[in-house]
Amino acid sequence: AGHNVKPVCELPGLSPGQAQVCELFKDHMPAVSIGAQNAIQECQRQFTGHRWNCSTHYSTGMLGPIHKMATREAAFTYAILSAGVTHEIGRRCKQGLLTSCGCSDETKPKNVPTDWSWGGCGDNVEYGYKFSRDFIDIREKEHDPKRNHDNGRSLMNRRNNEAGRKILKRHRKPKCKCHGVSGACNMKTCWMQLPSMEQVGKILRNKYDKAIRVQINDRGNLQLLADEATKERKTRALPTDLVFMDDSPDYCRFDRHSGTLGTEGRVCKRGSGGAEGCDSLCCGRGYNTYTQEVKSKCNCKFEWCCKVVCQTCNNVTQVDICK
Amino acid sequence: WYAPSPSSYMEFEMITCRDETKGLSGEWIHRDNCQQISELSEYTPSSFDLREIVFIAKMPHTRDGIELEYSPWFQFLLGVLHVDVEYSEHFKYVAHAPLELEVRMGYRDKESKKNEWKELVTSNVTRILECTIAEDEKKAGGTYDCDMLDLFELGSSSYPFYLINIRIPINQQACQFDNKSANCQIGKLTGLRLIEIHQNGGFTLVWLWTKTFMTPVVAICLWWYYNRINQLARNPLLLERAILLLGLSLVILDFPIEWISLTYRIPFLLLISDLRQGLFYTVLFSFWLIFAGEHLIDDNTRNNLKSYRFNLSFIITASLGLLIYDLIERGIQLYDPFYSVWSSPTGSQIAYFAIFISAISTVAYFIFLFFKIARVWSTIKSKRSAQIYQTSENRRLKVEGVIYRFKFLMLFTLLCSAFTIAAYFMKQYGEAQLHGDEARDGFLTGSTSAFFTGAFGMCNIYVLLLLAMYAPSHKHYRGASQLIDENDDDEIMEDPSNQHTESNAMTTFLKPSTD
Repeated sequence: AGHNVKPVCELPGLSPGQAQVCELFKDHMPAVSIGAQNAIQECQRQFTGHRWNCSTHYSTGMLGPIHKMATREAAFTYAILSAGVTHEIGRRCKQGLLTSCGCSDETKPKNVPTDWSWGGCGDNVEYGYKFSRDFIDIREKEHDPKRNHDNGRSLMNRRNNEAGRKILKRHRKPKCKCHGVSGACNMKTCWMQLPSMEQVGKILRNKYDKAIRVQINDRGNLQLLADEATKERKTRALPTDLVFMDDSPDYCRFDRHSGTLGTEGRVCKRGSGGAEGCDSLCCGRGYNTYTQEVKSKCNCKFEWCCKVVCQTCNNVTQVDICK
Repeated sequence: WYAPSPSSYMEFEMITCRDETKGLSGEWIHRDNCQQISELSEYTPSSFDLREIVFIAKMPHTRDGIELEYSPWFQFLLGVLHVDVEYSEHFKYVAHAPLELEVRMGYRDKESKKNEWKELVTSNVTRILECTIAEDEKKAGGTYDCDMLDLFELGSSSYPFYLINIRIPINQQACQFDNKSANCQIGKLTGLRLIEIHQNGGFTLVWLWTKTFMTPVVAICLWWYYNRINQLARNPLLLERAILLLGLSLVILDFPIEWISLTYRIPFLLLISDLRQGLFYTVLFSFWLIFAGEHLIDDNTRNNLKSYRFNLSFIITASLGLLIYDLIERGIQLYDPFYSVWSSPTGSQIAYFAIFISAISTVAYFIFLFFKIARVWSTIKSKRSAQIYQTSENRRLKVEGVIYRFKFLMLFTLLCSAFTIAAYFMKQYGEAQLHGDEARDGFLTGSTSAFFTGAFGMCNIYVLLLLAMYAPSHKHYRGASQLIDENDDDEIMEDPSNQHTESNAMTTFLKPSTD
């Protein structure tokens, strides 16, 4: 919130093509940045307690080159980012904050004022979808000499971007209202409800687990590869499936080359067998235990929607932090 | 030439603004003077009176850089409200929580200045908020799935722009005293979404022209039928009167009164068209009953409306129930578009009762009707096999003709109702397809309104056919003066002098059995 629009287009994370789109659609940029923030937030929520917790070199900007390697994690990040941007643009269209949103019906109206009174206006998600495709995917289409991304990586990113947007679109839920005589259903109108970012995150998390390994073939297309674990080669991938090419690096250690931050300094849970357990999270390096005084809110009393009045309580807890 | 689907919608996510005056200044809050609150949950109100938060929506949206307008062609505007509630440990949602909204709706003419809004209606709206949440969602950030609420219903869309300001008042003291009072248990509300539904202009056009063409045709047919009956020497039979009434109600239904709404404001049009439809269906259902009953040859109590009173009472009850409901709901909405019978417990009880009674009666009616039709079929079959070859060639042809006419109309009735039902399902399916993800260019998507008009046209043709086929002949028997009905003594039938008496279909049919 409260974004200053002016310097947005000069962010280092934007590619030249994106900067151009940015200049044209300046009012869309707060939506892009908030959409990306929501996406990253959701990503971090999905991966709390995992070795990789969606912590990337985020300082490069909203949509900069996020991952150095074409891993599953990269696939997830790209998908959720593009879904987040689509989501937020669609939302702002509905708020009436973006005046350039189109009547994105399947039959594109040629003349909006008359076509609108003739046959109505379509869903706004379509506009968010198109904008996100134009804005985010443009990076993958241009050849930046500074980036050594090969063609395969671009294809993979585009595919994952598309998967994120498709999942958002596909998980809309119809809601209908009957308005015939006495509310009878001989007249009925339906509209689609967007899923929340949380739902999208959940679905993408599943897709992350089932991500498909691909490689680029001689003709420059993506080709599915056999799964190492099951030795089973999938014949086709759905457009909503995430694809990756490289093995995930060891997220345990900091490595500038592979772009990992390592788990040093992360809070873990002692005795837990899951991913957030200290044994797993600290990668066998052990952990230090600190005593911490935590101030927390307690005895809260609420005063309607947005206000909660609480007392502050001091709790002494022990925190385990990976070495 | 592409006919659009009957109705379309526009979704508005209401933006939240801060208004220090709490609405006391009477000023409209719109996009240009809005001090926007970007995240409602992070906002700390300056006082306990939450009237300072205003939810606003301007209808319709601007699209492709063009300010869209509502047109009178839309016929009606409906508003549905979605409330987004987030799970919160501190502020819990309790089931069936009453939600009270202070709604202000303004309009603007095309000529007036950009933010010169005029008051259309101000209303306090109470609705019951019904939300559900899955157990595993019960954590911070989890969202409830709430039923949509009917917000408003405008019987005419006569202004190009509307503005809605909604405030959610809360009385802390009332909440402490009785937490059942309004807005105390609505949970952590994160936003309001408004869905506006209107009839498409293109559909209105097609619809209106269909009606305009049909009205004179049906009227002329009706006039012709009426003359035929008048020329008869005998009094018209019940069946003939029923057909006359059916034709009349169809003319009323067809009459394109909606043309007026394109130039004048008539908000009661929605009510009128409801009443017209109700009238037509009541008469149609009664007609079916009489139609089947009058063909029931062995029953001697025919040609008398009284003998149908038991079955007719079902129709009367059903239509009365719906009439009362409709009059209350749509009638009061003329004054307050935000009114809904369903919002108050007593109101919704009355509404439920009326609709329940109507539904029961309709089901009972159909059971009796089908029972009757089955009986007619079996009687006709047995009569036919018993007598058809005994009679003279002339009579045989006539009887065959009567049976054929009956069968044809019966089939047409079935076809007509089947078509109506099919049109209904096509519409549902077409909508599902329209909103599905990939299958966008389905055959059905564009044709829903075609089916809609098709069903309407079918009804018209059906009644026209009835008028034509059941019109008594006048060519040869105009001079006949004696009324002979099948209920009369059979001996008269034997009298050759009565051969020239115009009789109704069933008399002709019955004759062989008495020969």
